[in-house]
Formats: sequence, C-alpha cells, structure tokens
Amino acid sequence: MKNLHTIAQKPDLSRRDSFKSIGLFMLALTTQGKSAHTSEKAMKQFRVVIIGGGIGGASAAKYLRILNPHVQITVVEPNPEYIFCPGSNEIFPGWCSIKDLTVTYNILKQRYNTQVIKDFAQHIDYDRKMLSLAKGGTLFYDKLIVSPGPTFDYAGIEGYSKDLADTHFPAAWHVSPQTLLLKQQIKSLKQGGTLCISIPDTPYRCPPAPYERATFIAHMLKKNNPAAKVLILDSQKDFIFDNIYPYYWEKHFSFGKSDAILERIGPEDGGHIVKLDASAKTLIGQNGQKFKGDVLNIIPPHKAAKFAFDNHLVQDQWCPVEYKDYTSLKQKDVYIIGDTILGDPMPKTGYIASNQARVAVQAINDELHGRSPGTPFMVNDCIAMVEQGFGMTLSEIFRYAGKNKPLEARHYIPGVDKNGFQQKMLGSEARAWQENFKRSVFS
Amino acid sequence: MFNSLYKKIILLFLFLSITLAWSQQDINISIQAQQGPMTLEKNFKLADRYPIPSAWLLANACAGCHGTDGAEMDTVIPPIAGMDKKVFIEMMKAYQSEKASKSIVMTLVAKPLTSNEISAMAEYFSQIKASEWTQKNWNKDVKVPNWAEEKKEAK
Ligand SMILES: Cc1cc2nc3c(=O)[nH]c(=O)nc-3n(C[C@H](O)[C@H](O)[C@H](O)COP(=O)(O)OP(=O)(O)OC[C@H]3O[C@@H](n4cnc5c(N)ncnc54)[C@H](O)[C@@H]3O)c2cc1C
Repeated sequence: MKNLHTIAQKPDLSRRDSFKSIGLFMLALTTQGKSAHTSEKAMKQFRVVIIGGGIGGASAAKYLRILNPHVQITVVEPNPEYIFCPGSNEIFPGWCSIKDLTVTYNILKQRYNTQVIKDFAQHIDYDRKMLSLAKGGTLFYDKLIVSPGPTFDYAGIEGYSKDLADTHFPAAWHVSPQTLLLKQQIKSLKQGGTLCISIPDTPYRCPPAPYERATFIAHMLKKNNPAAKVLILDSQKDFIFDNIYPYYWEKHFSFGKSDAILERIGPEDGGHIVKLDASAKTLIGQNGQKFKGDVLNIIPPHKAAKFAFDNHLVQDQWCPVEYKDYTSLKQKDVYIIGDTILGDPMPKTGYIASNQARVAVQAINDELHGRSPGTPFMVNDCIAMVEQGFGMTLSEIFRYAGKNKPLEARHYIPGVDKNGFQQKMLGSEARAWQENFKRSVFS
Repeated sequence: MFNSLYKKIILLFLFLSITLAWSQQDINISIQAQQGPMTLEKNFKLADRYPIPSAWLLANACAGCHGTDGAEMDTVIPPIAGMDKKVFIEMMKAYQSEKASKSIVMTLVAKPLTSNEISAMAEYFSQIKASEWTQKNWNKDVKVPNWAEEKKEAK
C-alpha cells in the first residue's frame, strides 16, 4: 500500500544531542533548586514565548493556558488578525468571504491571559535565551515554541518570483491579496480560455487543497464559461483522494474525454513544472513540455520558514524534531511545530499543527511538574467538500514508534455510495468542521 | 433537567446514526475505500508498546471537530463533553465493529483506538461539564485587513 504523503527525501534523523539532563539542570536553576515539581511562585516566573500566531502557535498558547494557569505566555505575530486557510478555496466561487475565515487575537489575550506582541521574531540568542524582534524589542524565554509556517520558495521555479506572484501569476497558498487577484482572474478568464494550476512536489501544505481548488474553479467555469478548461499540472503520480476525485470529475466535468472542463497532467507527461516563461504565459515541465495558459496559478515548492533557516533550526529543507515532544534536534529548549517541521509521514495540515501544539505544551507542562512526557497521540481528520452537498472524509492516525524514528501512519478513506446519502451528510459536516476547527484554536 | 434532555439528545443521535447508516450499508458502493500503509494489527502493537497517551491529549485530539474538551454544542457535529461513560464506550464499539456504518467519520476515527484509550476518553469526557466552550459573540469584533474588503458583486 502506498504511503499517503510520500516525500522525496527520507529523513536523516541524526542523533539528538543528549541535553535532556542539561534541560533538567536548567529547570532546576530556574526553580532555584526546589524539588522536581516547580513551585507556583517559580511557575509564575516561567516564560514561554511562541513565534507565530497561526494555527500551531495559537493552539499552543490556548492549550498551554488550559493546562497551566501560572506560566507567562507571549505570542509574537506580525498580523493583527489571523485568516484561516482551511475553507479558503471557497472564496473563489463565493461560498464564503474572507471575513468568515478571519479571527482576532482578543480571546487569546483576554480569556487565556496571553500577551500578543505585534512584531516579527528575528534572531535567537541561544546562550542568553533571548529573542530579538524586528522593531528592536527583546524577549527572554525559558521555553520557545516555533510555529512560523512554511516559506514559499518562488525561486524554486525558474523565472517565477514573489513579485510575479503578487502581480500576474498568483500562488494564493495562504489568504492574501494574491487570493483576490486569482479570483479576479478566474472571473475575467476569456471564453474558452485555459487556467493552469501547478502542484509542487510533496511536502506542501494541505495535500488535497489543490484538487479542491481545481474542482471549485471547474464548477465556476461550467456555469459561466463552459468552453474553458482547468489544467492541473501535477508533480505527484498518486494523489490524495485519488479514489474519489477522478470519479467525481468524470461525472461532472467529462474528465478523460476530449471536451473535459478539467484535465490532469501527471509527472510522467510533464506535469512537474520547473520553469515559467512569463512573457509567453507558459509553464515548462521537466522534459521541456510546454503548457500555455491564460491564467497561471503556480503553487511553488515549500521549505521551512526563513526564521528557522536564519536561526539554525533547519537540516536540508525542514526542521527536524523529536516526535515525542517536538523539541528541536538542533537547539535546546526549542519546540517546533506545524508546517515548518519535517514531520514526514504527517502531512502539513492545520489539524496536525494543532495536535502537535498540544503534544508540545503538554510536554512543557509535564516537565514543570516533574513528570516525563507521555506518549504522543496524533490524528489528522479531514472532512472536505467537493461541492456544496458532496463531501468526503479521510482519517489518519500516527503512532509513536520510538526515539529518533518517524511516526507510523495509517489512513482510511471510505469509498462513495451510489445513492449519495453519505456524501450529502459529509457535505454539511464539512461546513460544521470549519467552524468548530476555528473555535478549537481561537475561541 | 438539562442533563436528562442532554441524555435524550445523545440517545437520539446514537439511534439515528445507527439506523441511518444501517439503512445504507454496502448499498451500491461505487468506489472502494483506501487504507494503509500501517495495518490495524501493527497499530495496536505500537499502542501497546508505549505507555498510554494522557486522557487530556486523547480527548483533545477530537477538538478539531468536536471543540475544546468536546464541548461545541451547536453544530451538526455532536458534542462529547459530559457524555455518559457507558454510552461513549458503546458508541465507540459500535463504530469500530462497523455496526454503525462503514463510512461515517466516526467509524474511521474509532477503528485504530485501543479499548484502554477508549476507556480513558470515556472517563475524561464524562467528567466535563456539558456546556458550550465558546463564549457568545466570541469573534463578533473581527475586522478584515483593508485589502480584504470585498466589493459587493454586481448581479
Ligand atoms: C488552500 C488551503 C486549504 C487548507 N485547508 C486545510 C484544511 O481543510 N484542514 C487543515 O487541517 N489544514 C488545511 N490547510 C493547511 C493549514 O492552513 C496549515 O497546515 C496550517 O496553517 C499550519 O499551521 P502553522 O502554525 O504551521 O502555520 P500558519 O497557520 O501559517 O501560521 C504561521 C504564522 O506565523 C507567522 N509568522 C511567520 N514568520 C514569523 C516571524 N518571523 N515572527 C512572528 N510570526 C511569524 C505568520 O504571520 C503566521 O500567522 C490548508 C491550507 C491551504 C493553503
């Protein structure tokens, strides 16, 4: 059976420096030599700093506060609000607005007694346990949690750049002005035109989302521009939900026929895009195959956050961590979660990021209470919409398999029943999931 | 009073999910399920090899759908907070044995859980108060950034 989220390079998990004992020693210092269980007074002095107020970072703050009423929690995040990516493909057909996906940090501040600093984290001084911020401030920490999301490596596609993405060929892989640019381009696509969506090699955030986007756009075109076409240019041979999407596409978009509204080119036919010829609006595949489009939605390859590279938390392209507690394999007293970690075989999803956050903050709280962290438990559940009224679902579980080993994964994707009952039910659950998930992190 | 109403809702949900699902079991499955790569047996072996995860972690792995401590009360996804232990265990066993359905979300979710894990979750949820976690108007003051102000679309 294939692995659901296959990743090109296998993790090279070098042995973690054995600093567990140093960690305990440091803890002893901060607790001024008291017993393994930190006193309430010392806990009130204990500083946890979280970088990034996205799904991983906000979950860490909220659930740490739920576990521990005393410690100081500070989140560093440059934006005054957070916009959820889950659900964001629905912005294109107008099934939801950006406002529906936006949350404030007020609950985090008020209900969970968290300090939220509007700034960029820049530099970590590991010796002094001090974080410098872009505007010049500094923060001392006892534990640092890092969840800055991925970097989009625009330059990973020759001829492509952030500038071009902002102005002509949006990636729209997080909700930003590029999202509205792409929406505009879909709406003004000329009759019979072609819209290309190129999908990078794994790992990228939210494996099913490009297919979801292609499907939503095909629905829009079928209604308003039926001679037009969505062309998926795919770096993956097998893809997630590939038992369901093709079936649906055949039924609704003549997939596989000459008049198809939606087509998919796999890597064997040049779908792995390596180059953009901007002036010719053409994407170029690995063996020189050319795909001309009127609208190009280019999802660039991903790598760890710039912040993680700058602060020596990366090996190859991603941050390696110990999966028992999400401590960095490179630096001590640093926990890394979310899309920026290696994670394989876990996919880069919000559901996963928030579960990782809970494992990490539980480990921090256990250490404060002189307990060893329990076995982690990791689930990724996805209830997705193919269209309104047609849902599908996937459940994955990841079991701890030992120190310095990747987790073991098991997934299950049910099939489709002909009478459509199951899909109808899942369709309405998908909506409810989006709302509940937002609340599980921010309410 | 609230408590008994709550129990009734839960029982109704259990009844509905089992009957609805039973009525469509295996009818005209047009696409087969996919699963793997770890087998269920290996999953249980790994679970047994290490200490059981904490009840808090197990219970809040459900938070993404059911809310913090399983206490989202007002959507089509039912709450778990405050559920009777026995009811919880019975439901999970029904999902696991596919008596409920082959393909509703909970069947997939329940399958790889050990009975110790299920008991720990049952214990945890039974001790949580069955009241809404999210405060009213929690996100009412939200503002979108300037660039995201969408213009009204001309019909
Ligand atoms: C179209 C689409 C659909 C998706 N759908 C789903 C879905 O249905 N279900 C699901 O589970 N997941 C989904 N995802 C994936 C999900 O959005 C991500 O996996 C999740 O956001 C990862 O969380 P994170 O904390 O790692 O990163 P983010 O949520 O991106 O948060 C990172 C935060 O860090 C901040 N930051 C960055 N650098 C710094 C710095 N130097 N200092 C301070 N702050 C910094 C950023 O401003 C940002 O707010 C989807 C993604 C996309 C693109």
